[in-house]
Amino acid sequence: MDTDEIVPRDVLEAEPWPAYVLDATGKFVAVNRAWDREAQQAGGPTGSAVIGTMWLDHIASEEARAWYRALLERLWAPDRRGRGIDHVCACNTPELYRLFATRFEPIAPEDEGGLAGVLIVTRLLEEAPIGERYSVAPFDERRFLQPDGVLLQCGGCRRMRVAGSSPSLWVFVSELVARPRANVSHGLCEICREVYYGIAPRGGGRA
Amino acid sequence: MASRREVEAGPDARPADVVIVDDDEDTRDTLASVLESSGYHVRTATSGRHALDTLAGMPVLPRLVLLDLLMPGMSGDDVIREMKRTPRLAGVPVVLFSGASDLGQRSATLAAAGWVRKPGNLEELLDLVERFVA
Repeated sequence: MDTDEIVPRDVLEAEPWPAYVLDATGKFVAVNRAWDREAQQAGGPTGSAVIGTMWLDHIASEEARAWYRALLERLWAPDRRGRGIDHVCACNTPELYRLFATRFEPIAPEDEGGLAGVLIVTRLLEEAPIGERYSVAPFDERRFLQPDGVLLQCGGCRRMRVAGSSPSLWVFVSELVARPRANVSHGLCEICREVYYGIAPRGGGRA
Repeated sequence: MASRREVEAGPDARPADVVIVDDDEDTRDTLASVLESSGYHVRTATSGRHALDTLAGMPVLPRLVLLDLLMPGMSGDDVIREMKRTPRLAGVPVVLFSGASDLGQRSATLAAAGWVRKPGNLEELLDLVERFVA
């Protein structure tokens, strides 16, 4: 199949956020202009540098590579029946906390079974000075202990809800992502409610 | 304050299709909202004990229980064990809805009808409920 046919160019360019297409082997076959704009601003590789290369090869950490490899296998599993996968995670600069939602959309060929490729769109949900969104070491459980005695972690992005925050404030605590505790209960922050269930934030939330 | 879904009861109430058990209010409301928008009738419970009391008081049992595992007080594990020991509740399908890392293994150990790892998503939830309620 001609790689440009996996996702029509006009559809790709209609997407305002960085979007790219992988073929069924996981190789970059197309990126949109928003990708190139973002790459120029952030100093990342432009489309011409990544087309023809394997997507997973651009993920530096072996642990993250394994995680995304498993995600692609899950995306392509027959029981998903063509459903996409959403994923919320942070990708920071040294100065900025940046929370992204990435949509992985499997693209089936029009005239046959199997898989033509994957459309991946990444949108920026939130940006803030990094110190505002990370708990500083050492970890202080009291900052997150909810009135009912549990620590509340978002089941989507894994951020922790700051106790007593209103509107709710959710921050990353690396220690609780790396080493889950028995008293961690899982909920949904406002951003993940919207990404995974389409429910708009109530307003005023810092998520 | 208890929500309408939590206090609704009585023989005249329409039987619930799904009972959602989760200590987190936002999760309960999110799941209930999307299911009600799709036409399902939903009851919610805020704790393990509340879930068992709710089920015991229902003249018609639900077609599905969506159950969180880690909750203050009575855990989801204890709820499903208690349901299995109670003849009237033993046949109600329970699907675990949790962020626990060992969810698949716990689902098998508890003989649950299935599991969904939080956060799940809209399509996955509707597919799941349709399978049990349709």
